[in-house]
Amino acid sequence: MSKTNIKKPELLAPAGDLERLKIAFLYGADAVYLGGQSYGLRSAAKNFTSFELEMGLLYAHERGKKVYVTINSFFHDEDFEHFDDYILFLHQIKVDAVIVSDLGVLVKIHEICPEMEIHLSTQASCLNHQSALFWKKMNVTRIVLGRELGLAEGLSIAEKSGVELEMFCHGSMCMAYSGHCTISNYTAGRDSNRGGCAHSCRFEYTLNDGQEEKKSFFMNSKDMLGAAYVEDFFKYGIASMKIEGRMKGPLYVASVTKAYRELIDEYAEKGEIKADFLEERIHLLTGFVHRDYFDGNLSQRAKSDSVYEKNSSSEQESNPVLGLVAEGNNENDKRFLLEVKGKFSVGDDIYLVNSKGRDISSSIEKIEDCYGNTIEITKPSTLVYISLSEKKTNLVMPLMVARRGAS
Amino acid sequence: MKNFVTYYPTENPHLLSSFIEAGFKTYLLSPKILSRLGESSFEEVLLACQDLRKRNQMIVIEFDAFVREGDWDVYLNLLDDLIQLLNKNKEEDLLTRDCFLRVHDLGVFSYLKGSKKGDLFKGIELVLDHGNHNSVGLGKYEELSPSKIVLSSQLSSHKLENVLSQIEVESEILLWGKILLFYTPRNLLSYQFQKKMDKTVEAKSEESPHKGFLLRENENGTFMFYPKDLFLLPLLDQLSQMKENLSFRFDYRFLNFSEDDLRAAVSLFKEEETDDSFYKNEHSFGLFRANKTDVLFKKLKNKKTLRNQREDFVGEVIEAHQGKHLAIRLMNQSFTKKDQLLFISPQGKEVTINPRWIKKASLEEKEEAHTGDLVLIPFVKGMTVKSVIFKV
Repeated sequence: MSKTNIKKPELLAPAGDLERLKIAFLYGADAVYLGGQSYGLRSAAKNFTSFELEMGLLYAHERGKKVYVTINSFFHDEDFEHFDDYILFLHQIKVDAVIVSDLGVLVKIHEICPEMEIHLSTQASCLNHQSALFWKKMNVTRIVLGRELGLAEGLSIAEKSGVELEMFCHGSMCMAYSGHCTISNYTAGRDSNRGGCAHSCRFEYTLNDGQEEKKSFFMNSKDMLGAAYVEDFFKYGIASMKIEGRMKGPLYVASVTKAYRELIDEYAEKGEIKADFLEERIHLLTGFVHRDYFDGNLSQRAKSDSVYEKNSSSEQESNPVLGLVAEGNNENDKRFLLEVKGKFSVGDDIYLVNSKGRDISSSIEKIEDCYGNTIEITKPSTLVYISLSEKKTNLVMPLMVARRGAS
Repeated sequence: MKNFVTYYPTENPHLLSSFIEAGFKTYLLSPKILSRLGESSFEEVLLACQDLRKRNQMIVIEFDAFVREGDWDVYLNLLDDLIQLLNKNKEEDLLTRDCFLRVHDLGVFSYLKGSKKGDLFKGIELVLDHGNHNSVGLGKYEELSPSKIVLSSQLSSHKLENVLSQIEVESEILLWGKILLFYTPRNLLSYQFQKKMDKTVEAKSEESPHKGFLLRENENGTFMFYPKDLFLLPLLDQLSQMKENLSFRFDYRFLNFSEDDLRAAVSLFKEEETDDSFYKNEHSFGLFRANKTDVLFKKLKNKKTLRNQREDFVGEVIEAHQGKHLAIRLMNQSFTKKDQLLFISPQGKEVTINPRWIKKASLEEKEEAHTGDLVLIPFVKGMTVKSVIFKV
């Protein structure tokens, strides 16, 4: 039993595809959420084919992990056409729960498969205990609260409703009440609540109040950083800490999952998180491109400083990702195979984000192709064998993320 | 007789007669804070209620703000205050008995339906104007016995007709008014202008083909409207035939009408009046004619490399080493050297081959490749990274 004697919250990571599902588990997620090819809100993500869903489930369950499938788009009647088959398929492959935001979808799933666990998506904007009680009556077993709520509000809802709660701890935030924004629908012809969000809230606008004009990214929310509140997630009895980001890359999934895993474990084991320990994890969480962070609404209501007054898409990674480990090394062959994502050359510093503890950091001694030919400078979308200058054998594992620079 | 709904003209109460004459029977009152865009004080609501009751008109009080847990008591206490004010004259009938309450937050709706407070009203209406586009969900909401449901403007005509045919509860749609695109609890304008914002702000973006978005800020947050007005009045006959108990809302609050414009607008609801020359705003039928917002984004994706749900999907090319090999990551299916594989490049080029050999990245020969493997096979001309492979 942990020192805190409080149940650890589940760490729930996003999985945009099968690769990122494996990365999330490698770096410490207890569960992942993902979308199939239909019915989710992230049409731009690769998502999972039926076979990949089966593989993902198998992979997760073999490791004692869970998989939740998003069916959180707002359905029109025609969307139900092949829905029975899909739900029965999800049941057959033993999906741990589905995440739903539309009452019609919820009713239909319960009809088709009464034993299916149903989680309520944040898109449903459940904001108070009465709303939670309503959804509980509708057979929801867990509620993902609206990101407009703080942790203390979560506690109040949990106590008054008795429903298991999930809250976001990290990632991008909608500026609008989730599920209540239709800018894309009317301006881009894409249904934001059926996977087509055009992120119009991230645009720069010229505002005119009749007296003066201002240019501003006034609807562009900063990203949520909940690292400092891990202790409160424990204390307030939030069952699951959710990381946003099914569209994000492997580096994000690896770094964020690792940081929160270590914070959760530290608090569970020691009953406190020391400032320097927290700082190191925050350093990890700032090690990739992100909008400026704020607390979301976790400790207090988002104020005017929650707006990110910059163009979100123009920033570059300071330590770019160089690749993903395709095959690890071993005692006999210290080389590892890298699927290259960025240019680098012999002598460059590289570090591999370790799933536990310190990262593996070294300069590159040798780069070869599959035929043993030496490569001076790599090209993206190639496979190369890397030998590091560091002679100590470090276990490099498949799916580790390689970055330029020193850790 | 058509069921027209509009907002009580709080600033010009004398216009009420024009509304009544044009056939309006139901009037919305928007108390500050409880109504997300409300501007009326409770005293104004009381006066409006008295006025409407005297004229035998239907009254609907809006409580369509979302209520966060930390604000629950504040909002519910405000509702108590309003009820107390409306029912202060105890010897008369309670005024709330003649009023419907229009609620958006499901928690508030659910709470009021089960409480004595809710029973003080003639009925509780439920706003379902975001999402809720299917008859299964609407049917379930109907079971909760709202006195009316307010439907989404995103329902195209045939979808509206379809859902209306499957529910019995009285329903309402926006016939003429601004389309609300966005509602956030954050105050976004006062921060930008460094002052209290109690007027409309206009926004445009070079990244959007549209300009003239209207923005409002109040105690409930910030709201953004579509530049063009939704104007379904020319389709009223078609709409009226869909269902007898369908009501049509005229929300003139953000249309920037002068008093004369409003009077002219109201007269358009009389069948004999057709002169709409005063109406200069850009307007449209919104998504009423057709809502294809679910298909455009799918069209943008490269169909050539979509894996779809095909059982025969094998994997993707992750390296194309010119003249030597293709490296493939298998995501689905296994294959042997004897199997026929169909390759489709991102440009749509298709080639079918038998891989003569299969090797590991270390060049060790393999007989078979399995799901999850990374293998090399002979180079296939025209195939690049991200080409997809299917088993024939």
